[in-house]
Formats: sequence, C-alpha cells, structure tokens
Amino acid sequence: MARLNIPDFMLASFDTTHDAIRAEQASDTAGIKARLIPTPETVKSGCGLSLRMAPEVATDIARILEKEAVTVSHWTLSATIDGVRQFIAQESPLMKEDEK
Amino acid sequence: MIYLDNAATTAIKPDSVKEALCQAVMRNDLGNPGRGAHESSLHALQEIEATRTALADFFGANDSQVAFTANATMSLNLLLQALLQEGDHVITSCSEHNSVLRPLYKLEAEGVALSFLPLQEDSFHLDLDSLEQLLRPNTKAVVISQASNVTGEVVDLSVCSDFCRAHDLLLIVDAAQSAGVFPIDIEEDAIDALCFTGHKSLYGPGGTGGIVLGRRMAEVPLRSVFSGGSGTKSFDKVHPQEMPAFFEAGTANVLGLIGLHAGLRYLNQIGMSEVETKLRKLMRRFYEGVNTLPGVKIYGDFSDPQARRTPIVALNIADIPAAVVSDVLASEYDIATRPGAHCSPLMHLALGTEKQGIVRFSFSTMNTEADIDTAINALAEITQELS
Repeated sequence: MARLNIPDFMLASFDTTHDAIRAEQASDTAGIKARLIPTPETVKSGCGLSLRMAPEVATDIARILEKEAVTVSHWTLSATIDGVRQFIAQESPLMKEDEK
Repeated sequence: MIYLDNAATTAIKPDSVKEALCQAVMRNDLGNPGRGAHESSLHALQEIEATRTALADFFGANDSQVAFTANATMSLNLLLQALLQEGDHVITSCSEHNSVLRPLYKLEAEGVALSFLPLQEDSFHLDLDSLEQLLRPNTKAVVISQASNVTGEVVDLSVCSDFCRAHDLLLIVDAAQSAGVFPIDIEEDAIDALCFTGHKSLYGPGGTGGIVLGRRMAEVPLRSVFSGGSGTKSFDKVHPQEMPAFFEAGTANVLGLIGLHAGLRYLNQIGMSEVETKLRKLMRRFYEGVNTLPGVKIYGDFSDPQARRTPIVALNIADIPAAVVSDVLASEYDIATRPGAHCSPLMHLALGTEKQGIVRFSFSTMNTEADIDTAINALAEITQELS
C-alpha cells in the first residue's frame, strides 16, 4: 500500500481532451513538471484527463494556461485528510493571487 | 502503371507518408486516444491532436474548430444534417458531387427547399450571377464545391462569400477536390464550414477527413445527429455539444491521422504555391499535347494559362463511350483514368454527357512529365486509329 501513500497534488480539469493535451504541452514547454492522469469520478469535468501537478507550481501553470487560452473547468486539491484521500474543489490559483 | 486518377484518390503517396504509416503500424504503443491516461492512450492523443493543429494551420482555422471524420462525404452528411431543418432553403449548384447532392436530396424529402446554380450558357463556369435570383427569405446557406470533380473548374468563392455576408447566409464549401491543390484560408476566404477529405490531394490514407468551422459558426445552433463514446461527459445522455467532440464519436483513426499529418508536412515542405505551380504545369502539358488531336473534345476552360484550376483534363474522343477509351488506356497502355459519371449527375446532364460519360485525367505531384508524355502518345495512337 506504500505506493498509494501519495503526496497532496493539484488537478486542473478540462471540458475537452484537446484542452487537456494543450495544457500538458504548455507545461512541458515551460519546463514545469506536470502530467495527465485519469480524472477522478468525483470531479465533474467533461474530460477524462486532468493535469496533475505539485500544489506549489499550480499558480505558475494556471498563469501559463491563461496565456495559452486553455480553459480549466475545475481546479481540485487532492489531499489525505484523516487517512482518507479526498478531492476538494478549489478556485483558480490566479484568483488567490488576485486576493493577495 | 501510370496513375492519372488522382481526383479519385492519390494512390501513389509520398515516401514520407508511407514511412510514417509503416512506423505507426510498428509502434505497439498507440492506444485509444482520450480514453485513459496511460502512456499508450496519451501517445495516440498527442498524435491526433498534432494532426488537428497541423490541419488548423493549413486551413487558417482555430484548432478547436477542426473535427475529424472519415472523409468529405461523411463531413457533408454530418454538417448538413446538423445545420438544416424543415423550412430552410439552400442554394447549391449543378456541379456538385453526390456527396453534396444526396444528403441535400434526403433533407429535401424532410422539407428543406433546394435551388441550383446552373452553368453559364456555352461555358464550363457556374452562373454566380444567378445567386440573387435564387435568394429566398428562408435561404440559410450556400453549399458549393470549390472545384468541379468533373472539369476541374474552380468557383470564385469571393463572389459566394460576398453574397453570403450581404444576406447573412452561411457558406458551406466542399473542398474534396481543392484541399491540397492550392492554399485555402477559411477566414480570408470567408468560408463558414469547410468539408475535406484526406486521401486525395492531401496525400493521406483513406478514412481520413474532417470539418473545419469558421468563427461565425460559433453562433449557429447545430442539431445533434451523431453520438456515441467521446471519452468525456460519460454520464450525460447527450453527446458533447462542443467542437470538435460534436462531430467525433467513437475511436479516432489514429494510424490514418498520423499518415494525414505526414501528407500535410509533405505539402508544407514543398509549399502550396509551388505545389499549385507544379500541378498546373503537368495539367497544361497534357492539355497542350491532346487538345489538337483529331476527335478530342475537352470539357473545361483552358483559355487562361494562369487561371486557377484543379489538375484535371476531362475529354472525350469523338463519340466513343468514355468507358471504352478508359479501358483501352488501362489494358493497352497501363494508364489509369476515370470514365463514367464521376458521381456528378447534374454536371453531366449540363454538359450533355450523361450517356457517353467523360474520360477524366487527373494529376498529382507524384506524376512526372514522362507520365504526361506517355499518356499524350497513347491518346495520339488511339485517335490516329480513328482517322
């Protein structure tokens, strides 16, 4: 089970696979580590692929996706709380930036 | 064999396309695109999305507005059914292929009215001056082939697009014959929807094609006419309504689209201006070589050597059935041409060739001047026998 003991991560989800693949390419071009994973069923986005990234790079990626006109339908934090893996809806990291 | 039936399909593909297809078949790592996040699925998705972007660049479109289909016929069926409904009126033309005509006839039976642009008198060109006369209050679209698959004559789309803009109509273009022959930019040419196939002058394999929508189509409501697995919104009872998924259900033709991408790279490497020049030279060489042969009648306007045409020379020899001439060319000279009606019944009726048919010679960048000269000599021998 050690392999399921994964650290917290952020997910950017999309309405189309086209946006998902563009998001991965844009992150890759920017040299920021992120990869596509299956969208968890609890995230009600249209696309079965979501971009997984470390929480600390989410703002950078959000900025890149905005620049590339890639629309993110949902931002989600995946975290283990009280021993249970949970998916918690988030506002865009850019909104948080604006509030700062 | 000397292959001169490229308007049907380019049977001889560039080496780069053959290599891309062979390599794709041998890869073992192309899964079902958009149906998972494992590497094989992602590789397949990356490949088809790269093809989508290449097509968008090729046609001057936004890449989210390019949907894959199996060919131009499927594109036209899907688009026309999605767009038109009872009470609508459409202007089309007598130069259309059955890929336009039959979907429209089906819609006509469901209450869509049709009007047809005729040819100008004693001409091979469509009478675009008739557009205004055919306009009705309920006209919704002009559906037109950019180039005749029988004669190679190209329609002046700027006249059609000006007319459509003036009357708030949609311009739907069948680019089966024109895509890959000369540059097309759907925004510059004011095309609202372009239907294309991959296996002709784009040098891709069969089973590839698509629909490209222009910016104005974002505001146009479309009926859902095609649905199934999309890899997205799986719990919705309705197929996704967004482009490109709207026209894409089921597993994409990944191998074919990799081949189509290679075809686009081939064209881009040469440059579309150079492609058009090369095709024109081959066509003119053939035309000049056969035009004065006894008994040869050419169906097409070759009066201006620089006029834009698709690389077709359509002809008959005296009153010999086209099927007989084409068969002699195939069996005695090993030259492939296309006789018959070319799935364009109204054009043959307009030309008066519905009984005789027409022998169509069509060229690709894979043809050489030697191919052309061999075909000219073959026709010279055949016509000499007649005299």
